[in-house]
Parts: sequence; C-alpha cells; structure tokens
Amino acid sequence: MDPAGASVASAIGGEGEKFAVGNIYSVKVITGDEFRGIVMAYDPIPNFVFFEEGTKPRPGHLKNTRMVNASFITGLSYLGKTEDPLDSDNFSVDLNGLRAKEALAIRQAEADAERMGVGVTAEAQSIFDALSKTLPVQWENSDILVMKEVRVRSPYLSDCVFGGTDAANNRVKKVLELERRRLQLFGT
Amino acid sequence: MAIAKKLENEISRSSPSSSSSSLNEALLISTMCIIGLQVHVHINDGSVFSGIFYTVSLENEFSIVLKNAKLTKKGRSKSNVESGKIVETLVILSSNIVQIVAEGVSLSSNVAGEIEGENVVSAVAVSSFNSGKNRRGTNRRRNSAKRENCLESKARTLTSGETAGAMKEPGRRDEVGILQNKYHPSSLNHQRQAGVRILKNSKKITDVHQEDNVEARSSSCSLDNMSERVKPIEQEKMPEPSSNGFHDATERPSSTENSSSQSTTVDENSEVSLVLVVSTNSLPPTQATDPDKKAKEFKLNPGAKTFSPSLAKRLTSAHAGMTPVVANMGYVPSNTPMLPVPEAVQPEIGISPFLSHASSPSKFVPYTNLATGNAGGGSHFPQHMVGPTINRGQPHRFTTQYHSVQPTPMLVNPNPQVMVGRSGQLMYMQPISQDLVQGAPHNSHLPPRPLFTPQQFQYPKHQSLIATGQPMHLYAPQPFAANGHQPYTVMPTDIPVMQSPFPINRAMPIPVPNGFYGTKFL
Repeated sequence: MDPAGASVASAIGGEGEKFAVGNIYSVKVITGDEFRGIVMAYDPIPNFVFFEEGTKPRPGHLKNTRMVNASFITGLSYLGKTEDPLDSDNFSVDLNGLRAKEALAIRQAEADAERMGVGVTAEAQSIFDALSKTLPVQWENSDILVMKEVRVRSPYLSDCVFGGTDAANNRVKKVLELERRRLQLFGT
Repeated sequence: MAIAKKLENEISRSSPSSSSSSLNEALLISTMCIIGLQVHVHINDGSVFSGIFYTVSLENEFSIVLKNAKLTKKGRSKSNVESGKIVETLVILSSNIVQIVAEGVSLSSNVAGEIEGENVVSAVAVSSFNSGKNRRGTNRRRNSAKRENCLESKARTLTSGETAGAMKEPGRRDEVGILQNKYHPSSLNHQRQAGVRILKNSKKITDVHQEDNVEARSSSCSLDNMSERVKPIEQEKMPEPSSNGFHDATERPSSTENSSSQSTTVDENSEVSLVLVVSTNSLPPTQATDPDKKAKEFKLNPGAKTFSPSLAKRLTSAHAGMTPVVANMGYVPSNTPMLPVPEAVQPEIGISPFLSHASSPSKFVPYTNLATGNAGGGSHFPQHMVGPTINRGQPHRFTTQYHSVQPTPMLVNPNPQVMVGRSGQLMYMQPISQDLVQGAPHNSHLPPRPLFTPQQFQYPKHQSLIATGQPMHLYAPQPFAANGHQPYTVMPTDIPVMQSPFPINRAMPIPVPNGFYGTKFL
C-alpha cells in the first residue's frame, strides 16, 4: 500500500473504517485518473468503493458516481468527512422504474446500433449520419439505402448513386454532393 | 431473479461479518441506482468499455454485465473485441475492473420518482414507434436476429477468453433470470430486447411453418399452390404479436384457416348443407344428431380442433336461446369484443385477391343454403341421404356437393339486373335479395341479421346454426307452398346442371372430372 494510505489508516483507525461512509478523499487510480469524491458505500469482499464525485454532498440532485476497485487505488488523501451522503432516511428504490429505465436504454442502444455501419470507414459513417439528417437511410451491408429505393455504393460519391426514380435519384445525388462539400469544409 | 440472488448473497454475507452489513447494503443500493445508465468501465490494461449497466453478479466474485457495450479506448493488451464494434452482452470480472464511471445518477427518492416517471412515459411512446417498425416486414427482424446472434457469439467468446470455466454459469444464470423477470410485465417490455427472445420468436415462426406443412399435406395436391400463396401473408402477420392472449388465440385460428382456405370453405359448405337439410325435416332429429355432427366435424377437419372452445360456447348459447328475443340478447354482447379483431384482419385480406374472393363466399354461404333448402327440399333429400357415406370415403367428393348446391340459386332468382351489375359474386348475392324480400313482412327480425356479418371466418358454422334456428320461425308457413311447386323446380334444375359446370370451373380451380361425373351418377 501507499504510505499515504498507511497514514490515513493509522489516523482514522482500523482497516474497516478506512472507507467509512461520508469520508471525502482525493483518489488516484493506476490508469492515471484523479478525482475527488465522497465515500458512499464500501464492501470488503469484492473490494469496491462507491464514490460520489465532488466534495459536498447534494442529496436531491443528479450526480456522477464512480465505483472503484480498492486494489487499484494508487493515491488516497483524506480531505474531510460529511454525514449521511446517501440520505438514507428519504431514500427508496423503485424497481419498476429501474426496469423501465433499463429497457428504454437498451432499446435506444439497439436503435443506435442499427445506424452503425459494419465494415465501413469513418468517412462512410459520417456521410451516413449527414444523409440521415434529411433523408430516411439505412445500412445494407456496405451500401447506404436511401428511401428504400436509392442505393449509394462505396466510395459514396455522387457518381455511385443507383436505383430509384429519376427524381429520387437526382435528389439523393444533390444532397450527397452538398453533404460531402459540407464535410470537407467543416471536417468530420 | 438476479435481485433476489443479490439479497440472498447479502444475507449470507451479513452473518459472517455483522459489522459491515450496513456498508454492504449501501453498496447494493448504489449499484442498483446505476442500472440502466450508460457507464464507462476502465480496465486494468488501460482500455475503456462503455455500455448500459445491466446487472451485477455477486456470486463467488464480483462481476458486472453490460448491454450493447463497445470498446471506446483500446488498451495495452489484445482483446477479442474490436474497436467500434458493439457487443450484445459483455461480462467483466472485478479482477479486471479498475473503476466504473456513471453520470447522471439519482440517489434520492424524490428526483428518482420524477425522472423515472418520465422514462416510463417515453418508454410507452418509443414502444409504439418500434411496433410500427416491426410491422414493416420480417426481413429486418431476420437480419437483426442474425446480427445479434453474431454479437452474442462474440460476447460468449469474450467471456470464455477472459473468465474461468466456473464463472461462466453464474453470469448466464443471472441474465436468464433477469430476462424471465422482464418477460412477465409484457405491457412495457413486449418489444424484443435480447437475442434470446429473438430465438424464441424464430422458434414460434418455425412452429407455424410446421403446422402449415401438415395442413398442406392433408389437403389435395391442387391446393398446395394456394397454400404457398398464402404463406407470405402469414409471414407478414407474424411481426404483429399482440400483448393480450385473447387476441393471440383468435388470430392464430384465422391464420390456419387462411392457409387451407380452399379446402375449409368446401368442407364448411357441405357440412352446412347437411345441417340445413336435416333441420328442414323435423326438430327432434336435429337435437339428437347434433353431438354426432360435432364428432364428424372434428374427424373430418383436424384444423377444427382449434375452434373447439368457441364451438362449445356458441352451441350452448344457441341451445339456450330457443326464442329469437333470448337469442338476440345472448349474441349482442359477444359481438362487441370481436369487432376490433376483424378490423385487423380485413386490411391483411385486402393484400391478396385470392383471400378477398375466399372471404365473401364464407360470409354468404348460409343464405345460399337457405335458398336451396326452400326451393327444392324433395330433390336434395336423396342426395344428402347418400352424402354422409360419401364424406366418410374421400374428402375430394366435397367438391361434388359444392357444385350441386351452387347452380340452384341461379334459377330461384333470375334477375338480369343483378347479373349485369355483379358478375363476380353473382351466385352469392341473389340469396340476399331473396332474404330481404321474404323479410319484408317480418320487420322485427331485421336487426339481428347485421350482427352476423362482422363475425370472423371461423364462425360461419355458428352463423348457419343461428340461421337454422331463426328460419324455422320465418319459413314455417312457406314450406307447404314450396312443396306444391316441387314438380316445376325439379324439371328445370336438370337442364342448368349440364350447362352451369363450365362457368364454375372457369371461376374456381376445382378438379372438373370428379365434379362432373359425381353429378351424373347422383
């Protein structure tokens, strides 16, 4: 352990009280991240500490949290102590709300995954995202299918537009050309 | 399930060390608060994964499960997950986790309630939008199923690579448990969320196809082409899973009926004619022979078994309602819940012209049988006496009776106006006009008639039974007059039988020689 950790342990008390709820620390982990947080929970068996970022507790607000493996903490300096950061008297967990939130998040992630091209370049993905702002587009292998009838093939130039009616084809070519010009100007 | 396991683990841990029980509870609650949020997991080799925090496995060793996880930063060591690719399910052990960063966590009940309420509302809106997507076609579902299957295989390889053999089972068990928990509240989570459910859906689809194959084999060779035409429509029907079990039960029989629509329509016509003929003779034999006909229907039509619960209910209600007043009261409430169902079926029928043709004869069959019964009771009596034995022999002979029944309506109402106006459905529209003419003096009976039309295809048999009950009151005085005209009707029926088979054969692809010779011999 780090000498600072040893000093903290000797200062506060036993090993179990090192990560007592309410302690405020400045933490450094092996990946190089540093942050300040309030200990909200600790379990010695999995050896994880749950921190709330910041040095002052905000019971009724959204906050950023970090669950850190104590084995990988390289720096720990004691900053102070606060009382009841979890606000346990007013605390309750809504299981149905959790399930709904989880289901919603997974659905959103799946929708985003469908928009991600497989085996295409970052430039192609940028063109896809640009076209999706104005036209209904979807991936079909490495081709961009616009309005379910116009096909844009690699390398996604205005000359690589096929299929669809003349009006739709011309529109896609025009939009594609404009989007490529915009990307060149502002970058991806 | 997973939450219960967590609680059990919590209890088991509190016994060895009671001093840390409060900390354990706090860690458990904190972990539950970040379920469903986008988190960033830092691994000891420097790589970072981001995904939806799904669950925590507290057995033996602490490990977390992420849904739709992807590698946002590549670390020192090599991993089987490429940068930018999405893993459906990613299990990471605590020995590899340095820290988990979650933003926007709400730990207070007040704020959590408000935000989660909004999530619920938005979830409902999103689910309706997703249902619209699903209806567009099954091709997308199949493609997405393949993608997610590949992603699952990647997740499995990742877990096998990084985790020990003993650790595989706890993570998977937790996932299965959570899925089972989610499956029960189908109102919100009815939309597919994981590959496992897609596999279940694919299994259901295969089951339906197997049933279709069985029905296709049972029907004649000529009907196989028709069943093949109906199959793509059924594939389109599959993307519409309804949350209510009642709707599922009602929709499945309709799909099976459509798959073998030709054979079922023929069988229904012949069976309905049998019922009518027996009823015209006398009341007591109809009551006595009803259970026998039930058994016959079930034996002759294996598909009819699916309709048995509705058949039993309808038959009991029919027996209870001897008087028309009681019958009307009994049938009115049953129609109201069935109204939304045909609305869903009708647009699907409009997709193909074959189904549209098949739907109209099933609706008008009871009226044609009424006309035939009244017109020539004596002439049809000997034919139907031989009918049961023919039915027991071969199912192909249903077509013969079907031919024999159709020509007679032409003679009963030779209206040129109707013939010119509706050439396609000529034979089926005439009996309706006859019923309207006969129904004119009986205004009180007009209201119950429109109640029959909104019913589905699977209930035409009940319509026939209902019709048999009411015509006894309507046509009681008329059979005597009809009997007086029997010699006139017998003579002209022979001549058009020779002529009419030709247009019938052109309209419907029924085997000509069997029907033609059948009529001659009979």
